[in-house]
Amino acid sequence: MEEKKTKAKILAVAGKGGVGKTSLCSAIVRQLVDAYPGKRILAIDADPAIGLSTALGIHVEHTIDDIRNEVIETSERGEYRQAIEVLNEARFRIFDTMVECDGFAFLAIGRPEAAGCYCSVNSYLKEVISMLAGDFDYVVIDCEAGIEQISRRVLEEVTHLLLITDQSAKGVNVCREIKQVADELITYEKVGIVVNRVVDPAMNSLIQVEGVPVLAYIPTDPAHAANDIQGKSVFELPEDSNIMTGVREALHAFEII
Amino acid sequence: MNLYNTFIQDTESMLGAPKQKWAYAERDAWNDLGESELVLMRDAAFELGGGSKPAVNFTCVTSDANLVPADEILLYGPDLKDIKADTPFARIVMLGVKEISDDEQEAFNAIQNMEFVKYHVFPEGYMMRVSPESSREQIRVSKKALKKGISFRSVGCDFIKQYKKNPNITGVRVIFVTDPNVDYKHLLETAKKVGDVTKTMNKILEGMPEDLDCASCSFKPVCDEVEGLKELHFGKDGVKKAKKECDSR
Repeated sequence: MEEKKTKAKILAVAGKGGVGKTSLCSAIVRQLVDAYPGKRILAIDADPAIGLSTALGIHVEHTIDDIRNEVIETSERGEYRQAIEVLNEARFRIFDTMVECDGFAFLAIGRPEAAGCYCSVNSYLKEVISMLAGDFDYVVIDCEAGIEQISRRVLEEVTHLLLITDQSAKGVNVCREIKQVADELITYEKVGIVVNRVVDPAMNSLIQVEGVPVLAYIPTDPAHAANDIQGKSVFELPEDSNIMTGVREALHAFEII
Repeated sequence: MNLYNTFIQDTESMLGAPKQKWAYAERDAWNDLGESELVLMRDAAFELGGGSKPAVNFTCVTSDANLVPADEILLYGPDLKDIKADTPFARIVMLGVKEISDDEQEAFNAIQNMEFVKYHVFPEGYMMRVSPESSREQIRVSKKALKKGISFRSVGCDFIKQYKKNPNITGVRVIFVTDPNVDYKHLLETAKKVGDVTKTMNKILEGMPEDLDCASCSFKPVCDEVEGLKELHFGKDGVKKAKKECDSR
C-alpha cells in the first residue's frame, strides 16, 4: 500500500473574536510544517472573516462556499444527479479549491454572499472535514468566533480542542461556554487553553476554566505586530518571537510535537 | 441497448488505429486500494488533464456484441512512463452488455450501475478526480507508482477487473488517450452527448406525457440524433404516430 489512511489529529482552535485565534492558528501550522516536513497537513479557515489565508501568505481564489453554491445551482436547474455523482463532483471541486503550499494544504470556508446564517455552509464544511480528514495526518481548523460551529456539531470529529483567550473576563467566559457545549455535543480527546496577549502576568492566576489546563501564556508580541503591519506571513516571524515560542509550548503540552 | 452505438462508432473512426493494444489479463491488474487515495501535488509526477489541459471521460454501453467483442485496453499516445509533464487526457470505456431487461427502468438502473463502477476503481498511486458536471477526469500519478512500474495496461486491467464483477457485462474496452494531437474538443462534445442521452432517458423514465409535442421539448435535439430514444418514450407504434403528426405540420 502506498499511503495507508490514518486517523488524523484534528486540532480545532476556538474562542472569542479578537483574541488572536487566527495568528495562533497560523503559528500552529508553521510549527507542524517545521516539525513534520513529510507529513500531510491541512489548514482549514472555517472563520467567515477569512484571515488565516493572509496569515499564512496564501492567495485564495475559490472557497467551500463557492462549491456549495454551484451544487445548489445544478440542483435548481433540475439536473438529475445520483448521490454518488454529487459526491464525486464535490470531491473534484474540493481539490480545485484546495491550495497546496510548501508543506501544507489549505481550504477556506468562504463568506456566503447572501445575508443570513451560515448553517448550510457549516453543514457542508462538516462533510468536507469528514471527507478529507482520513487523507491527512494533521488538520488545523481556525474556527468561527464563538460557539456556533461547536453547537452545530460541525467539528464533531475533533481530537484536540484548543481554546484561546486574552486576559479579559469575556474571553475566558467564551472559553468556558465552548467547553460546556463541547462536553455535551462533540467528542474530543484533549482540551487546553492558551492565554494570548498577556499584558500583566500577575493576573494569569485569575484565568481558570474548570477541567481545562492552561497550555501556555503568550505575552503581547511586538514582533507579530510589526509582521502584521507589513503584511508579512507567519513564516516570516522570528522563531523566537513570543507567539512562536508560546505555540511551541502549547503543542508540546498537547503532545502534538 | 443500442442508444450509444453511434458514439462508439464515431469515436472509433475518429481515433483510428491505436498506438498500442493489449488483451485483458486479471493477473496484470494494478493494485487496487479499494478506497480513494490522496496524491498531493508534491507527491505527483504529473497530472493527466491537469490545469487547463483537456480531460475527457465517458462511458458507452451496447448490447451489440460486434462492437465490443473482447476485453481490451487501447492506448493513443505515450504511456505513463514516457510522460514527463501535465498532458491532455481522455479515458473512454465501451461496455458490451447482455440485453438486460424488458423493463425500461430496470435496464436504466442497470446501466447506471455499470457506469458508476468508475467511482469504485482506485488504482494505487493513480488518483482519479471525476466531474460528472463537466465530463472531466483528471489523474494525479504518484512518483512512487511510476517507480513501481504503473502503466495504462495495468490500470486498464484494474478497470476491467472491476467491471467484470458485474455479470451483465460481456466485454470491456478501456481506451486511454494522451496524444496531444487528438481532437479532444470532439471527444468532449461526444461526452456531452452521451451525458445528454442518459439525462433524456432518465427524463423519459421519470414520466413524460405521451401526447407531448416534440417540438416543444428541450430534449428534441438529443432524440433526433439518437436512434431509440423516441421508442423509449412513445413505444414503437407511438413513434410512427408522432412522426406522422410531425410530418403533417
